[in-house]
Amino acid sequence: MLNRLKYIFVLMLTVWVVTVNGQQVKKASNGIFLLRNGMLHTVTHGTFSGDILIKDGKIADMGSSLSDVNAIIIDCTGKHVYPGLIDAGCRLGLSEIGSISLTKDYAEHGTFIPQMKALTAINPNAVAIPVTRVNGVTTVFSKPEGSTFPGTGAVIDLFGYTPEQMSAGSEGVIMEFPATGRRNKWDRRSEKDIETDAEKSLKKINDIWSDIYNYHRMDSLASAQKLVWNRNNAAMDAMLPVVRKEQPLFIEVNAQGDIESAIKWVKAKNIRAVFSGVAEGWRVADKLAAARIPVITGPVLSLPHRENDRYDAAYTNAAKMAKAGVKVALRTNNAENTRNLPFNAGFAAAYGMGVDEALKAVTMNAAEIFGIDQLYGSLDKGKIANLFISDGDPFEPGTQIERLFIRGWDIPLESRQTLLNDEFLHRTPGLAR
Amino acid sequence: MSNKIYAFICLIFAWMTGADIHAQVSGNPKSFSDTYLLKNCFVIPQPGQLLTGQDILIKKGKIAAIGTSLKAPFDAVEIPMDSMYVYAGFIDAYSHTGIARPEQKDRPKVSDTVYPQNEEAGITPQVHAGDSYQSSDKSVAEMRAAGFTLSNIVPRGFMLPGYADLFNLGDEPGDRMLLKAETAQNFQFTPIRGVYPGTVMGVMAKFRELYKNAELFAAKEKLYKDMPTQYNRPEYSRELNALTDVTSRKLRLFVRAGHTRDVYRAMKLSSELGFDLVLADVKQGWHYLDEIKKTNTGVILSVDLPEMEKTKTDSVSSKKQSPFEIKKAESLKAYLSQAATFEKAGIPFAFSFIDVKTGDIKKNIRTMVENGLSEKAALAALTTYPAQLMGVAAQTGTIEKGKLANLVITNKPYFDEKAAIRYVFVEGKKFEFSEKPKAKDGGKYAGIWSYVVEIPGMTQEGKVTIIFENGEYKISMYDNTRPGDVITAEDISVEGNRITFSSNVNMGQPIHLNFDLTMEDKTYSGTVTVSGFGAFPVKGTWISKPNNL
Amino acid sequence: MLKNIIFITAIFISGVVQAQNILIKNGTVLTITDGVKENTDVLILGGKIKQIGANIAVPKDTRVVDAKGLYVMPGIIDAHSHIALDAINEFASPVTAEVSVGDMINPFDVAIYRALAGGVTISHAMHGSANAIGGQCQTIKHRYGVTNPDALKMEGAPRTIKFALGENPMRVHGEGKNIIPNTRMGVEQTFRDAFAEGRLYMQRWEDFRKGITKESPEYNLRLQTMADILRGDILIHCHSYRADEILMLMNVLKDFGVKKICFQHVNEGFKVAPELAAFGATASVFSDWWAYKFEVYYSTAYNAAILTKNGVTTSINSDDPELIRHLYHEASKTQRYGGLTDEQALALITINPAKQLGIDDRVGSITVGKDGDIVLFKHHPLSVYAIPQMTIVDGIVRFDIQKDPDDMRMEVSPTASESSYYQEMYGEEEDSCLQGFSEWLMDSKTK
Repeated sequence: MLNRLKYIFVLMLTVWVVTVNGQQVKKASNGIFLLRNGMLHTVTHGTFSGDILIKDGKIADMGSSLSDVNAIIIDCTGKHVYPGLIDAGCRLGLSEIGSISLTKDYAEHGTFIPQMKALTAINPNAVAIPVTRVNGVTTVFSKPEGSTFPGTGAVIDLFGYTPEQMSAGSEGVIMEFPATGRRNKWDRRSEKDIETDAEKSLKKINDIWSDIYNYHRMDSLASAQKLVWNRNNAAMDAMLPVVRKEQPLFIEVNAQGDIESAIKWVKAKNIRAVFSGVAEGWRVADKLAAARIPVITGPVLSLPHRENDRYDAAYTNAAKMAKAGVKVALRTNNAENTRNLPFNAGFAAAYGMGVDEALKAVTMNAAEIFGIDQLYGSLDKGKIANLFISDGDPFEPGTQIERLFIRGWDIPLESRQTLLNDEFLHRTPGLAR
Repeated sequence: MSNKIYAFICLIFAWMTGADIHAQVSGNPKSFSDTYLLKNCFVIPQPGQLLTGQDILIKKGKIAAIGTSLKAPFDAVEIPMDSMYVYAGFIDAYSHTGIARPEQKDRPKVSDTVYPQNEEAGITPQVHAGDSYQSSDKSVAEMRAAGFTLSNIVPRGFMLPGYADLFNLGDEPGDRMLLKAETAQNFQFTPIRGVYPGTVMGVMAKFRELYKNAELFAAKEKLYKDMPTQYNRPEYSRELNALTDVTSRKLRLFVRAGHTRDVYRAMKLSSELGFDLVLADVKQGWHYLDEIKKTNTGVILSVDLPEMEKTKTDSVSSKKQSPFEIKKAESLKAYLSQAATFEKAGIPFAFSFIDVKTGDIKKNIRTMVENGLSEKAALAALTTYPAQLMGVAAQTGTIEKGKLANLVITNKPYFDEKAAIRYVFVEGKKFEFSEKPKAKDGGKYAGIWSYVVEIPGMTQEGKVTIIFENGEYKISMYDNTRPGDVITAEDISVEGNRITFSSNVNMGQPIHLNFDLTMEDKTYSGTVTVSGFGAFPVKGTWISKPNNL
Repeated sequence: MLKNIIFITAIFISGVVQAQNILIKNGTVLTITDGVKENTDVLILGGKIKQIGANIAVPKDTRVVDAKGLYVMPGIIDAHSHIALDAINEFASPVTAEVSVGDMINPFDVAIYRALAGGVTISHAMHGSANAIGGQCQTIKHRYGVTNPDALKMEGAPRTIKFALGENPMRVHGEGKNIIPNTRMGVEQTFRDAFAEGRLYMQRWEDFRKGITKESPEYNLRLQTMADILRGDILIHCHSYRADEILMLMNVLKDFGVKKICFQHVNEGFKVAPELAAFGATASVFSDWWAYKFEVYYSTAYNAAILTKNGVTTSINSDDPELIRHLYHEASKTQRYGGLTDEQALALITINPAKQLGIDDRVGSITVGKDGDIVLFKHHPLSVYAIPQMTIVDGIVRFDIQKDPDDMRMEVSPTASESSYYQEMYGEEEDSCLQGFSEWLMDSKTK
């Protein structure tokens, strides 16, 4: 009872703060919430009308006619409830302003630097974070890039003030597979030079890999024989979970030939792998499916990578892979506009994937790829309460997201962009002084 | 002796710093007669005609007579021509023959890139190609050996490089070989990046402005000339003055227009401003045949063709061609049949030879013929049409009495794959080409070798590359301190284990180096003779196979 | 396969396809200016919209397109793009009014086709934003298939010119070359100086014409163009971001009596919406791009909605060969960010950009007498599931999702290999107005 009073008080306080002092930033609140009579898009077990009880940051219960005397009731009649969307690859929090390098933290110097941890550099107060989550994106894989082993990405929830509060408990080492494509239209290297460059890079990777393997062997022997092995090699240490198959290696690879090489490479090295990018996955979808390598692809809204490709090659890529049986998650590969994840999913749905599969690609499939599907990716009892209420299909731009929960916190649907709208829609003073 | 050593070191230094390397000084014996009688030849007096059993009398640089059983004057050198074919000397309508490529050095710094001086912006219409033409440049001898007796030479440069001049490709010093000065003004869509105008659109805007100002300049000059007391003297501009030759339509403007849009842009400027256009060095002009024909635009097609891949003749694999490969093959076909397409459209054209290796000229023209160009039109493009275009048709382009004795003589019809050029006459001067004896050793000395030249007091080291290609040796060398400056050897002779060759270095005066080497399996030794200074020992060892084979 | 190739070759040779007569039957017609008409036919004869109504009889030699279940809307217009151009920036001077991208049209650019596949029939091919006063722009119709560059130009479209404020001209000239402008103060004075010179130039020629001076002045294409702007013969389209610089330019224009301006990008336009409306300036914005540089950090995706609701004629543009393919989707974002109605949202990519380019009497709505520029959509164009089915320009079908082959290149390299995969295409979220800058910088440093 006391608890309930406390919550009502907090709620009243929030309302008071908002109404009395409009300039005060709205704050998230937590508690027990009962979402009543919404259309629940569970992803894992269908779509039906029902209730959800949020308690201790989790989905405490799901069903019909739930009740909890302490709960704040949210009437969801005519509304839709979705699990929070997951962007499986972006730079959110690692980049504030694109053209100012000192505000960018995703590309460290060095070619073999897997020990660089995105989680420590993600700015919890990045302006783009609220901008992103108000569109229903609650969780992202934010990752370093720009070299062969650029570092370790982190899955984070888009709410919290410290890395510990934000972490979703999953990290992944990134590798960029040597690319045989041209870097851009102005890349005038000869075909042969491109091939040689790629061969050199691959040889370098293989050399590193034999080092990694030796390091792992020595480390294993040392611990088996209870020997003390004095060393300081953070980069090698970061690779141990990968070489021991405790974690997948996230391999960025895009052109058809490179994907084919990467499939062979993964097999030869006997590791778990997730491919990312995979822009030409549609050309080798069967091979990807046969190799059972999951894929993170996107942005869906991209140009074809060859002049002679059909205009919709990128739109249809995800669908073609999914149809072949590849587990596909989507990404924006963006920073400030990670908010467009639902629209990317919408395009993938329109161009052959279908709405259900596209929804999976931005929820459950991503959760499975990151090994967090016990707690993320669907509306299921016991999962973390990352979810939102909308007045319709969240992939449709015309739809409004009306309420958002991350880890059970009721997040105000506010960002600097909404605040600017509030201030300037009807500017005062107008033209007068 | 010490003086000589000093000079030699200077010489090496000049070599190292990449001074101009000149072709060999003519070694022909001094001529005592300018009269020749070519006996019993097949004559192609103009495209599409063939006369048999003809004699041609050449005197004082002209064709003095042509007919059967001509009587030889006492001073005539008689040359039996049995079964040889005589054509009018070929005319290259657009090239930089005889103008050495500028050294690869940084361009002078432009102090104001926004408002540069005309020259800094590549605006030099007052320049003449002849000012930098040198008959001793290697390219002249090469073009001549390919059957060319006249080149319409365009200055190297940028947007407005200057006047073209028409030169006989003899070996006598420049001006004596000039047939016609100022055959055309030239324009190209070539900005100097970083300096205004820095893009093609900037170049076009600047050209429009210059053109209008040249018209205004001419008008003001005329007013002042007519009424000097009434008007202020207009500010003189050499650049605008040169351009008035175009605006007054005294001269045609040759616009270098390789690719589709360049062709279109050139035609657009012409129709907008009203000058007489010749499209030059056209590589991709087939989209605009109607417009070209309608406007009577002159055309010079490039002989530079895209490289063909060696296609397998396997019919099974060609059936499996992807749509990509089919489109690509169609595109290639369009390039190779451009000349045929122009011929079919009834548009006459000449040929340009920029970026074409002289060794490829005939091969490429034959490729055009294989792709539908008639031999007659090909020959016209090499002779009669360029003569008309340059306004010298009365002097050359066909074999007729009174015309210049510019002839090319082959052992088989020119377009025959195996035909070889035996003689070229340039204004009556004979150049003879014998079939090169092929080396018979299979190229066993091919490889990269070191060299060490022992000069008293110092040692010079470098590398010699010996290549064996199509039965011929090619030799080049460079100094270790300046690997970028490669010197090509000439007069290569291989007899048994003895290799001799020469090369030339120019340092104010041409200096001749003669190498005489005795080869062992993996080493060699010998001497290098420096003209006027003496001989020095040279030795070296085998390093590796040549890497460009 | 072979049939497809023959099809392409056919366009190649014939250059211009004959105008077709088309009757689009039974579609849901989004007229833009006259509401939505269900089960309605649109007849295009000789490239123009002849009739809109129910059960229109099929004239002879007319192709009938069944649009049952489809949405029929006017061709989408992009007020800011750089496709179909061989060059974008004349970097070499802060004022280059004399150059024109109309000279740089590349009708072979496959980006034109890809834009058609997104329903875009007209784009404003612009000079870049390297210079305070850049070059003249060109409104083009997406007649993909013609080889004559001028055939892409929209006949009778008014002349336009690119201006640019802020970081880009400051970076290229101030930082890059140590000349003015290095600040927004310098940018203002660059405009004032160019306008003043243009005015003097006009005067010099006027004096000559009147016989006050006897010798003709020198011809100067740059100042001639400035004079044309002063006379109101050229519409200004100005790359801009910050509120202060937008106000600055309006003040400069007021001082020189220039009235017609469309601010491009104008990310902070929402802050000065009342001033823009009062001046009569229009705005062409991104739906949601921001934070790619400092001057767009304080942006909001509500920009288009705020401007619209404050009475500023607003459009949504692409500035990008990727984004241009889904402007209908970009427009739909104004429904999430600002709740614009369908009609308002669709106007952002049709009639409004037409107004900004001065071609609204010709295109931008389905109206009798206007050009036969039409796009057919499966699903409503503001739905994320919308897919363009057919795009018609001047009554000629230029995109047909059913019939077109995959490979639509017109210009094919005779030597390039099939493996020409490009790691990065354009489409990074950044204004592509500075395209070529790094290459240029490299060049100029070595010279």
